[in-house]
Amino acid sequence: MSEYRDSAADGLHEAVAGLWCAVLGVDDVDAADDFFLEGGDSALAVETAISLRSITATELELDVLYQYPEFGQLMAFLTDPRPDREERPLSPAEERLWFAERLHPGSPQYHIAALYRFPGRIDVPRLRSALDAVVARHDGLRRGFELPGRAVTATTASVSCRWLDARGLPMADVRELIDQHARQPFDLAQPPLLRALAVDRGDEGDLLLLTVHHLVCDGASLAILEDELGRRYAGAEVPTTEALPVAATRLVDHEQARAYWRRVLAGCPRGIALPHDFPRPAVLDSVGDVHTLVCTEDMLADMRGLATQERLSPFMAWIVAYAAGLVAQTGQRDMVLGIAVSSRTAERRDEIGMFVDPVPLRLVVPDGSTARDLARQVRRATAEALAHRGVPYQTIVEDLGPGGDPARAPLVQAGLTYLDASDRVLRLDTQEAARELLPTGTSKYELLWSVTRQAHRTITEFEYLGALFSEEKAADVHGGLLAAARAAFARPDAPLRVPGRPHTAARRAESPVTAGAWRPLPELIRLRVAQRPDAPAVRHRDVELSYRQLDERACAIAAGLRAAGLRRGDVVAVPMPRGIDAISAYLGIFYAGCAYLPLDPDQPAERIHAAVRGVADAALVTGTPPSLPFELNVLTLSDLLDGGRVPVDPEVPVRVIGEDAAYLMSTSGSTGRPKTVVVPHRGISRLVPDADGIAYRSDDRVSHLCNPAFDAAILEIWGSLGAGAVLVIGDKSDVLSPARLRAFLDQQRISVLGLPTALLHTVIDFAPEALRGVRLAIFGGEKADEQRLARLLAHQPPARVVNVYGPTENTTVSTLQRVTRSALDPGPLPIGRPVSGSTAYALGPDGEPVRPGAEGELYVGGAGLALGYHGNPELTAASFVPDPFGQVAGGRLYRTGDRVRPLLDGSFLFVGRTDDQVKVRGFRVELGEIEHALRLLPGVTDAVVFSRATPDSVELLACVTGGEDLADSARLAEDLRERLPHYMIPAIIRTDRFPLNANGKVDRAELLAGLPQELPRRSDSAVDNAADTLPDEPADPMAEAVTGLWCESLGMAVARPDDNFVALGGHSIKALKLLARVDETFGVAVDLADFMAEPTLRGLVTAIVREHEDALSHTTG
Amino acid sequence: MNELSINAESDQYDVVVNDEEQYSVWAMGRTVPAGWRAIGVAGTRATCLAYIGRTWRDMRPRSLRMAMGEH
Repeated sequence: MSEYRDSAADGLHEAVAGLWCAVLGVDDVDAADDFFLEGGDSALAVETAISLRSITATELELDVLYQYPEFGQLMAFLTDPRPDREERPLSPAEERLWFAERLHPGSPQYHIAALYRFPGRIDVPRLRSALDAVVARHDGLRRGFELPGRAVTATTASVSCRWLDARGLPMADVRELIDQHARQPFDLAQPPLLRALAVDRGDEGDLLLLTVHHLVCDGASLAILEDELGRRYAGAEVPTTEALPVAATRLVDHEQARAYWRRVLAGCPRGIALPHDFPRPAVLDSVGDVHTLVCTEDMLADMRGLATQERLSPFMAWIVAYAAGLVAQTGQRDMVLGIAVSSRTAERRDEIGMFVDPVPLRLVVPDGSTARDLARQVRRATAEALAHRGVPYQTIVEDLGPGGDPARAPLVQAGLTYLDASDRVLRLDTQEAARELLPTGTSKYELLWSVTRQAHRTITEFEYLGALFSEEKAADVHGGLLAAARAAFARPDAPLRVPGRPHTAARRAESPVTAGAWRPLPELIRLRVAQRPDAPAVRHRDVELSYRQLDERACAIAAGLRAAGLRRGDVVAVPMPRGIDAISAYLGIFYAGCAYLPLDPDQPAERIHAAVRGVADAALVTGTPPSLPFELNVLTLSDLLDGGRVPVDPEVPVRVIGEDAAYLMSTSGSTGRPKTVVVPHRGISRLVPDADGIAYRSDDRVSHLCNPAFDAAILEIWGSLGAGAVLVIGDKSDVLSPARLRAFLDQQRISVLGLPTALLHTVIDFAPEALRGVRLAIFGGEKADEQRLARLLAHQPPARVVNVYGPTENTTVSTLQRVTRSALDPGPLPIGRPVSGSTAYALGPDGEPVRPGAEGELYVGGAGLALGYHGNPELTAASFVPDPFGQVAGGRLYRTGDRVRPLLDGSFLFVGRTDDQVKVRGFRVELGEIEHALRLLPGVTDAVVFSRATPDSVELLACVTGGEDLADSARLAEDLRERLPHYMIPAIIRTDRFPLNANGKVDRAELLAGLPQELPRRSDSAVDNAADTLPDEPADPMAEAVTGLWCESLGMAVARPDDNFVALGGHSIKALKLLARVDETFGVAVDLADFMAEPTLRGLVTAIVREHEDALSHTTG
Repeated sequence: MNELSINAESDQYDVVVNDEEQYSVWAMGRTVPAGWRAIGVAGTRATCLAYIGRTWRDMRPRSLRMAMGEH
């Protein structure tokens, strides 16, 4: 401390020294003497402090001697009571930024970099002293931040003000230097968190860059800084404002405000479905960029018009613009936006510091809402949010409880700022320069829209995370966002735009349909190949292909297809089982611009022929292919991959658009002919890789267990490849026992799993914990059993369980419902709400939407809609009808034939079918097709097929009439197997005649009522005849127990060793259950593939004995 | 198949077509949705569908045909 003391200080020294000596009973005092070492105690310390108060005539803290126990320290403090540093805990706003800083240390994310271009020169020494003077006056600019989280205000701080001679340097280089300077990290412990760079550009005029950390500055503070800097530079006095009395600015009681936020945010979505083009990485960094647009005067005029009519502030009007834009870009109708609100109190109106809090603004935009509706909602929500501000953002989030994607910000991922900088200039003497905020190369949100009103224009800046958006995509989305906002203000009373449904006016006959900003799969996968060529793309057993290898294969296949004469739009049948070959074939077909028709090679030959004939232009086969029509051009995969034979084709991959057919799928048709649905690329692109609720990520390992000839596989394959994830192909045996499935999921570390509902039920019954490691489990195909789902949720469930619903005609998924305890609570699980890009309506007989709760037929539309049925214009026209509700002119809706009830929250409850279509263990079956096939059998006159619910699924029953030559049931079933897949084979009952109703038609109800409750066995007649004979004596108690399980599984009273499980009506899921029961009872895992190889009771008993012995030899050996 | 839920009483339909030159049927008398127009063929549903079966040969959307360089 200073040696210099004036006389007043001398007097003080004398008085304090006297007091010290008197209290401690010492004769003398030295600067280094310690009050407590000299005999002082706490009572004396307080007494002394009270005496010091009267000596100094100040309100000293009573613990002053604890703070300054040495005499010298005490004197120094009493002489100049201002400490050289002052500490305090962080404010909530500071804490938030501090936390972000700790997360990304050294990131320029929260730098505010303001650039000013002056016409002439800057006097750097004057600038430097002006900056120091500003810093001296503002505590905030002398504030630093220290671990673990303290704000420390220093007594003095000097601003670093560099000068750079950049005369003659190209502007691009100058700009780079400036950016470097702006992004250089601050040492947060070393105030000031403000620095300056003056750039000498010679005759072109000087530049000034001010970089300040958001921890000590906000938009209003920057204006104060500019204002004061200008005055100090000019040598003018800065008027000292009296500290205003602390006004009663408490708006609403804190607890009340917290309750308000809890209430308005209850049940809000925790994520916004941003239309980014890169798959979401597991961990987001803050690296980002900015895309800037200038608003048109027309738009601003329209905006002012609505703002005036609805009494909106400019900021509110921009919230309307942002929300309208986001609805159009995301299709999300319930969203939470982050808006910045000032927490500055009146007495701090001239302070430089951080007084901004983000506030979550929830907006719900029902279908059909207009800009005016939105404006009113924004006005009310903003006013309420302002009235309830002051609850720290962190508290609001904590009060909501856990939820959302842990890899994303917990509540808000899209923010908006608005700044009126129209009169913001920095004035240095006679020169003026407008402020230009520089991008920091980072983004604070996944998406931040910053609107700045400048003197002559308004700019919007779209700040985005580089990990999510490519530059082009960001430009696209930003343009779309602003265009949607413009359209909203131009027609404030028209319904807002939604994605995939451009405004009527925007679509003309001559403009091709633009189905949103989706990338067709070939392009998307090419992007993944470019991004991570060596990442694994597909894996089967121990074989793995990287994205590059898959791409190379697909290119070779495409070139081969083209060499064989196939062109864009042609259809290639792929009768291959699940495998790397099939995946390569599909992608190769895409690359050739063709569409693939996946077929199950195990189907009856006749059905394969029917599916291919007149539809496919060629077939691509591998291994031992099934029988195909002789006229079909059959290409062998290995021939195409034999690279030497096909030259490189520069046309590959052939460019396609969203309307190009991607795949065709053969479904059961009631006329006996299969219906072939043609699905365009946009149908898949709207779904993968990141539809809201079923988003795939590049770090996922996605199982491929579904039959590729059915819908569910579409999501598995393209969701995974579209995201750049690994597709892990499972074998049939992997799904044939819950124990095996569990082993597959664990060994392959599967993170995304799709299962048919019936299989999920079995897994829940026997191994509910099998899915514990899964991040996302998707199921669908049949109505789910809520009790089982509740059990699943109670047993180490996957992080997210989603029920998807949708016909092939709407690309697999129309609606989806997340399965949560609360979704299961009120009763039946709904099929959910339309997935992004889709619409759904429950219509009554008058073609108008029914009231919530009433029953209607479900019609679905949007970007997922199929093109129609191949070669069947009549059926297409009948099933795809004009859409009178959508905002796309000329749109269509598909009549699903499903009866549903719309619920108040916009979701639907499945009730049943309007026709004879049923789902058998997830397979879509038209009863008419079975009837048709039966009638073609020799001796059959007529046939009626029913479905009847069973505890697991649905069972099919057929009644047939015929003449003398009608074969017995077993023979009929066998003949039917030649024509129909296994899941369509009914139990067959021969009857003499069918009961007729008053109209002379078959009375199905009466016929069904007359059928036996126990299903007749569609088995060999020996078993039928043996029903009343006793089975062979069981050999031992174990065999007896197995027989018990067997009978229980098949619903039979007796069994014989030679009984065949399949012949007795046992299907794979029943077999699975039987083996699971065996596992439970005997602790033995019988391989289902082994069992199915010899599905007899004797075989099962033998297998159990063998496994048992194996197990014993393992444990004893 | 369960027959038509849209306007069950009406048995007269129009053949309608949209900008993509996709065909469908629409109950006569109901306002034709935007982007669709009646082509002047009307009759029972079956008549209309049969007409569509004869007329709608190239089922690709018009925008696709144009993108492929055809008209």
